Amino acid sequence: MNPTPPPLPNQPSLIHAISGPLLLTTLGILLAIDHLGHMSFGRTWPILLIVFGICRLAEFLGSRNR
Amino acid sequence: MRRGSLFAPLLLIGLGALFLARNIYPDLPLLQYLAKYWPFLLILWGGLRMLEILFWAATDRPLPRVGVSGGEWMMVVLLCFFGATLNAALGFSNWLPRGRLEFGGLDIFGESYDYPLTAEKQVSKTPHIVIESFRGNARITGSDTDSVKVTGRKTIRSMDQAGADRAHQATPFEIAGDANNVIIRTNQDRAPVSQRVSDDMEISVPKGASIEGHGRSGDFDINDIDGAVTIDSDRAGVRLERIGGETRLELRNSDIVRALNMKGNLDLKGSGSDIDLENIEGAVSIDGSYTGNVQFQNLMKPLHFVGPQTEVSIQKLSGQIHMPLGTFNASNLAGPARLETRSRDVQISEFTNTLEVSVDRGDIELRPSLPISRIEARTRTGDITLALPPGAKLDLTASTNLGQLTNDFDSSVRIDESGRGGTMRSSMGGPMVTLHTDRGEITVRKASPDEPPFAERRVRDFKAKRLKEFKPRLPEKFDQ
Repeated sequence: MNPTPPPLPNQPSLIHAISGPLLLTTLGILLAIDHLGHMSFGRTWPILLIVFGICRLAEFLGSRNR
Repeated sequence: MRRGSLFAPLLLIGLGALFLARNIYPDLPLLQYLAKYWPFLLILWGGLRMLEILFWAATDRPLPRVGVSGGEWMMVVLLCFFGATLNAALGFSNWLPRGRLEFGGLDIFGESYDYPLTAEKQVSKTPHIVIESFRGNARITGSDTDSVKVTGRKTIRSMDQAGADRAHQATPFEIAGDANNVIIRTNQDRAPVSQRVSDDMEISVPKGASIEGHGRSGDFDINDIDGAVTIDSDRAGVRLERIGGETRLELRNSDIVRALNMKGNLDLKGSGSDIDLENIEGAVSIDGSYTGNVQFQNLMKPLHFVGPQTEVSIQKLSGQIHMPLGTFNASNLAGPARLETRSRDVQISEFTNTLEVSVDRGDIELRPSLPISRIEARTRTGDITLALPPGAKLDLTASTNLGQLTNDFDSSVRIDESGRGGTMRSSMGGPMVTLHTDRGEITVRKASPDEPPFAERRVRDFKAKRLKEFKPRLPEKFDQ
């Protein structure tokens, strides 16, 4: 019998890999909203914190379930 | 092995396409587009990288440790800095620290403190009113009164209330001068460097007043003034309605200049985006670089427009001229008219008197009204179409060095083909009409009476358009 090897401890998770591009996209969207005059970046920037927090939370939950 | 990203090659392709577009349309305001839309590069970058990673995950390939590397984040920071600087430099917004970054109600760079403005002074019926250089918006309205009355509010950005109060004390608002020469002074330059003061003013003046306004950033909205109006400002949108005297505007980075129902001459210099003029009884002279939507309607005296790539002069415009990027559409104008442009497709219908059109690169389509006058149209690269009303008499000479000649107008028109081009001639005993293209086709045809004009009358909601951006805050809204 040849059991499936467990994932390597340093194998990066999908959530971890995707959090950078997700933050980048969010930053772009917030700046675009600012430049198009709908709402200033000064007011919307906390969304970046929220997205970052959600990514870390998803990563944490993902690693617990693994 | 480190995998390459899709973003770099796509960025190169995008840059190439942008520069190509700029070469084909020299009027293309590339910097303005970049300044306004650069955040979409970040969205594209992030979106592509996300798709790449999802694709790798779906095909069981090893995932990168980080989606965006440290070096790439550095690039993002540089791009943000460059984009925000460009955005501020072109006048779309204010660059930090003048912008606000709020932390739950607290600003990093201070908070806004508002103070009401009220002042009044008895004046003559025809005073000269000078508004000294200020930051903020001004709405000036003429009425049957013999006083200058200002209401509005002063906004001070400061770290604390005490600092704001000190700045408020240091910048007293005043109406100075005598009954004939009035000076509205905000004294904003006396504020400490760390505190930014701006004034939004609602100014009521006698109808016979003349206005001289100096601004640094903010809109002017002026209505019902019989005297002259002079505005000199940076980053100002200017909206004028029912002005009786001469109007002179010198603006840098204005987002819009609108003028409606003006009795005197209008002289506009500077740079900016949109121009919209309608029902102007005086001569109009425009000298500057305007990259947005430029349109004119019903100009009763000559128009002279000089831009970096385009020069137009006409005697009278009963119809419209629209000049969006790469095109010049006009209908119902009186010559002698002259248009010289580097790269635009030109369409002119219903014109009388002589017309000269010279284009470097672009098609020309002309539909004159009877009686035909002298026409001279030249383009280096582009087609020329002349649509003539039935019964038109003219002496035509049309030549192309490379291209076809087509005559659907009259059987007396002779075509001599030579080499890859040719000449088309007719002698009906009328004014000279000369058409020439180095490279392109020439068509002479009959115009049908039901063809629509090249520039249609546009019904615009003149008042509603800019109110969103011009927000005079009135005293009754204050928390006093």
